[in-house]
Amino acid sequence: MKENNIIKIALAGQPNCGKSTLFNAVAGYKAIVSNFPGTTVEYTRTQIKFGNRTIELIDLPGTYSLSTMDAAELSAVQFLLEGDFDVVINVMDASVMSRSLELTFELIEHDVPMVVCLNMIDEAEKKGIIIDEKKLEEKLGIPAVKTIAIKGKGIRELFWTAIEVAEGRRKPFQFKYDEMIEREIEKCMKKFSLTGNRGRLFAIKILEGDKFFKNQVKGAEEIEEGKLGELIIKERHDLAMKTFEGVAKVFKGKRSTLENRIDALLLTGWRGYLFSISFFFFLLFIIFSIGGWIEEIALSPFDKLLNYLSEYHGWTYRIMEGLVQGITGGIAVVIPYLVPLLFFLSLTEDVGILPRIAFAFDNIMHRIGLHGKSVIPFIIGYGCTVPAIMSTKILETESERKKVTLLTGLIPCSARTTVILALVDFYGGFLAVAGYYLFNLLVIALLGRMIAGLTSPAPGLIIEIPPYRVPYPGMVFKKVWFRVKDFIFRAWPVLIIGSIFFSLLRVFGAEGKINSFLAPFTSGILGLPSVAGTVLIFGILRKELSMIMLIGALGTTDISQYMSIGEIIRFTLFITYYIPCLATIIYTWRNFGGKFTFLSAIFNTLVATLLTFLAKFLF
Amino acid sequence: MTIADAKKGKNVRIKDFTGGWGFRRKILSLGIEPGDEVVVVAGMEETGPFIIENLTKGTKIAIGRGMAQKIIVEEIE
Repeated sequence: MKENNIIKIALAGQPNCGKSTLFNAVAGYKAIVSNFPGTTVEYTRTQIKFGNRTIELIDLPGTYSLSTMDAAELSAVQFLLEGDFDVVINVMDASVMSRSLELTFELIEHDVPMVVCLNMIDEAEKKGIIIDEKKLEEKLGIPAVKTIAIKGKGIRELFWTAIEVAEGRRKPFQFKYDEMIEREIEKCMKKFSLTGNRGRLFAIKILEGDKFFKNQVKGAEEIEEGKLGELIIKERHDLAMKTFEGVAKVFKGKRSTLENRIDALLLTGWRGYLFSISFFFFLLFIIFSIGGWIEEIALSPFDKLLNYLSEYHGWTYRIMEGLVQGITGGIAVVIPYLVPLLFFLSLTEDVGILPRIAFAFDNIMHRIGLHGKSVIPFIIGYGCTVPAIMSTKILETESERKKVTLLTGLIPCSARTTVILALVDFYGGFLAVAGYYLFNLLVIALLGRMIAGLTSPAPGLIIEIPPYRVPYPGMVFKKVWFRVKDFIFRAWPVLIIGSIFFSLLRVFGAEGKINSFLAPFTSGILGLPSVAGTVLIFGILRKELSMIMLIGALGTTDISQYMSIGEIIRFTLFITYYIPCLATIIYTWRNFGGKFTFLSAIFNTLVATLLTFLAKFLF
Repeated sequence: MTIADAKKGKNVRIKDFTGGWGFRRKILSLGIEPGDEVVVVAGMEETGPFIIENLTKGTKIAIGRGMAQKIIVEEIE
């Protein structure tokens, strides 16, 4: 390998091993992030400068094993088979080393240049586990480095070691199973004419009954799953245990019973609900007090600018208006909501509260066919749909992520709340608003059940509960910045272009034409005044704008003069449920591709139309 | 007895798993296996999930009741 080449380093490890912490610790602020939408589980890549070398770092999804049973595992296995990397860093939580070694042995079977990273070594020592990394190196044939990623310890050494391994293409020793299994592996290799270590890997996986590998080899589909697969896994497990015992000494460390007491106190029966609900109230408090307050301050200069621009005529002013509108739209999402919500989310993630909340809500969420974890995007959705969609990352399966994305789009975000408060509260009072929100939850629960009936049910809950940890502010900031930057570079430009496009429509006087074109729908089906047509279209940009535009279109702030109570309710209903804002659309597109985004927009509009249409008979 | 029937705070030992290969694999990959000493730390409602600590490995998991009923345990004398 030449010195000036980019060295590609992949991070592989089990969930909660601190892999992402390591990634963030080195990726730093200057990283260029790009995700790969369309693939089932996206992984993050970034380029960093390390000494005089350029490293491309690939963060693979966390997997307990490499059995292709779920999307994350499949994506990791495909990546490993494609071989577009120079070295794999196998990150493990050293405090659960015996279990983590099973993945290490699976990686060894993939026959890739690798380094073992014994992360969270401080926690292991606290637990009384003392690891001799030199012994591990002798046994596996590859280097092992101790790190504490969250404090940045050992990272430099780890990466130098990884570069050395990459340049020497140093591969681990292959290990042998017992004779009987080895004979079967040999037979299988012969039968399908598989050769070398790659062939050995395929043979082992075929015997394990792995569907992905079976489908790759002609004729292997017919091999029946026998006891052999279980034996192979058991042996690998025993090997991991033996290796652990050979390289680590376990002293009786001080175990924290305090943590268990806290868990028993917070997560039992009604106290579990009390704890989670207070957590959510706190979250909502952040959204509505801090977010709203920041929004006012951050947006006031832009609103003044827009006011100023609107006083002038001519198309250049209209385009400038569109430009400013697009910038403002981005700011309205990023500063007040994205940053505080992501910050809070990262913090609770690091402390270890999130999986506990998921646990507490599991029972309720299963009733609408979802996992306990999906409660988090829902709550964040009350602030802003964009970070809510971002947070679906914590869900395991693609179908769950899509389901939750679809349903969070129906939750009134703060922008829609502005409209609801302005219209429902002003003309109906507090009780009407409370009723409106309850009805909204009912609609989501009903649709959730319906979708659950159509798709495979959420798998039973089984997640690891990490120990409570003290968060490191630096790490939290990095995480937040990583995701915010992602939004700035991906969504903002489209938002600005879209905004200018809408302004151009206005310049060419398309408003009247759009209104009359949409009239059969807006007046006929929805029963709204025909001026609502453009308001609804332009509202896609920023939903809180629809309120202002409605006032503009009617020419009065006293809407009740021109619209009946029924019309006001129907307008609010439609605004709440139809296509989410442009930022949401862009984000859904980036995460799930065009087809799903299109379907979700249709789904939203259908729900909105149906509800508004039905409301005609009530009000 | 399954772990779903175990008393909170009482240490028990895992004897075996029932249920399909997929479940066994998942639970084994989480580092839970026969012979491990485990204890129920917390449990939501009657029908809800549990938090189980694996004392042998020093790990903790949340697990749905349906899955917990597939983990056969015995009391420790």
